[in-house]
Amino acid sequence: MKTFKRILAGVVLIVGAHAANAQLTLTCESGNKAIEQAACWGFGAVNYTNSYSYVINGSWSARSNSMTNSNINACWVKTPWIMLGSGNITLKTKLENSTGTTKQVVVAYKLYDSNSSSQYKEGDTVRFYTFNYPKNGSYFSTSVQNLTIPIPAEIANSTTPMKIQISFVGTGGSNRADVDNIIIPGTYWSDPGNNCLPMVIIQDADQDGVADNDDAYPNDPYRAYNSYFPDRNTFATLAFEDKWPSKGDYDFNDVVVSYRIQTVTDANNKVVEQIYKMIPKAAGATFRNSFGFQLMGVDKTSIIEVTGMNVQTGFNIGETGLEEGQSLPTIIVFDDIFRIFNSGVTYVNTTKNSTPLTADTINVKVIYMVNGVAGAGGPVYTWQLGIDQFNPFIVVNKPSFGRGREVHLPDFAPTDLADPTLFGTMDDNSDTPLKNKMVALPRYYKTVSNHPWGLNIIGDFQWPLEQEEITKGYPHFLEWAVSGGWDYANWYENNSGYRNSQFLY
Amino acid sequence: MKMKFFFLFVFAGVLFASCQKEDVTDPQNPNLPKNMNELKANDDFSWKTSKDVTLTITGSHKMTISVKTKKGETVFMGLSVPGTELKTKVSIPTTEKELVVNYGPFSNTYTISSDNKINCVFDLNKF
Repeated sequence: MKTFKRILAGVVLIVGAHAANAQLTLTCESGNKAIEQAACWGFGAVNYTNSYSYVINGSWSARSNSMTNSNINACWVKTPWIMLGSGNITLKTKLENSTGTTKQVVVAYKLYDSNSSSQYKEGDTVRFYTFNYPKNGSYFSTSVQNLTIPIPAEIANSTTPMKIQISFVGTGGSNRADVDNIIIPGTYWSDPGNNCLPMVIIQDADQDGVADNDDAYPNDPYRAYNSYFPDRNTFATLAFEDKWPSKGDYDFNDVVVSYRIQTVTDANNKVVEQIYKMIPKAAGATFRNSFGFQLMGVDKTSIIEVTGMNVQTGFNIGETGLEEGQSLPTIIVFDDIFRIFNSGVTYVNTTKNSTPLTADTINVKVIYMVNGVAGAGGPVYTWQLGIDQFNPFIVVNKPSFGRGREVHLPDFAPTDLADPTLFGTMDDNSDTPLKNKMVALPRYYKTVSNHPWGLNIIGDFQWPLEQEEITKGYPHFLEWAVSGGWDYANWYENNSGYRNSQFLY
Repeated sequence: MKMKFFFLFVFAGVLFASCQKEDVTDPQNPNLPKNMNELKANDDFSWKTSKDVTLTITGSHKMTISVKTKKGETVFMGLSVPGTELKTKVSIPTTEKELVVNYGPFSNTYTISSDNKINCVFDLNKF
């Protein structure tokens, strides 16, 4: 069965090779042959020129060395591997002066040869066309020659990759050829990422269409790539105040969670699963706070299962792992931050003299596909999963206050289970459809001065000590806020003068 | 005697004023609030340190795509297939002005537009 799949894949690729009107062109207008070489073109003693005397068309042409050698491997331009089409190869060429005995353009092909000992896997060179530059008596013409070169029937529409080599040969005199506008019917078939070998021989053990070299899961046809937020080696940080709807002390250490999101996609760029790696860092509070997040860009029926949460009591979690009673997929990561720290005391990791505690890492896995099959709501793509669709929140002291006292990042909506009566009370200046159905632009979790109760910092965050305002530990925080985010947008980084460690844990 | 008290009073006043000034005011930006209580942020300030950038990528050949920040941090991997537009969203620091998109071994740097979008076209058939 696997052999059949391999053959079928090859057939599909070959059928696709002869797309109508496909052609390779070389106009040299990049002005830098290294760009074409990176795309697997070859040049032997041929360089680019923008000299007015030599350019044939546009601003750049190619120019051979002096044509004093009859060997076709002296001065040449060679295509990448292509699936050759039919019709004519065309090009423009001219000589730079009238000297010399013989001056020719020779066109040849090289078929792909898997048995070749050469790393390039090129077969024998087969010449099929020769053009003699015209002479007037003993002198060569320097006029532009428009060559139309018929593709021989034996190689037209071949299903074997090949390269076309255009050589400039001659004897006598010191004369060079200029060449431009090379057009070859066919389809590009090199893989620049695999030593420019033909695409059909790319190693792909799981047959998912992604080369093993690029495939993070080379033996798993249902997984191909990993993407990370913020990136593979960095964690972002969520920092909350828990006194909402009253203002807190702005130390942003009541709940601190580091996190990194790994998104696994398949060869069709569909999201297979996400792994939210969550590490509770601090709990500068007396409340037994919970933490969760909502995915606002995804239909909950697109999620097959969620695993890995650390929730023991107090939340109504369904069979899929999502919280019940929510219209959008909502995941409770942990129910009691003090239990997660295994702490018998309050104020964890926010005072200098306390014993540092370490919480277990919580890996929440959100599964969107199993064995290539998406959830009932259809496949999920990465454009649905930006950070603006990630809505983290804490539930404040559920044992005393119940499920409804949620604190979200500023301008992020509460979940369906938030208590609507709390909005607009105390210091909260939210204007939500929950209380005012006529509101045009909802406003959430901001004071009248637009202060937040939560921050999402895209990087490492050294949280403030207990009751030390964040502005003391981060001298540029206020400048960032006053400027509307324009100044000191990297206020949280560990640059010189950016942190005042005496106020930070 | 009265003069002595006068100078002592003036000196103490200057000393007190100097101490206060060093504590609370940024001399380069005297209008800056001193703490959160004095801060009045704009209504539309989002307090975000990251932003979403939407990329649409088309290419002439099947090729692995990687999107990197200028620091070289990879934020997206995917597969570009001819005839299909690859759309993705990456979340990066608000400070980033450009992204590097690798199409196989080819690499282009794109400026992020004001509406946080980037459109990439790679055509290996045309040079």
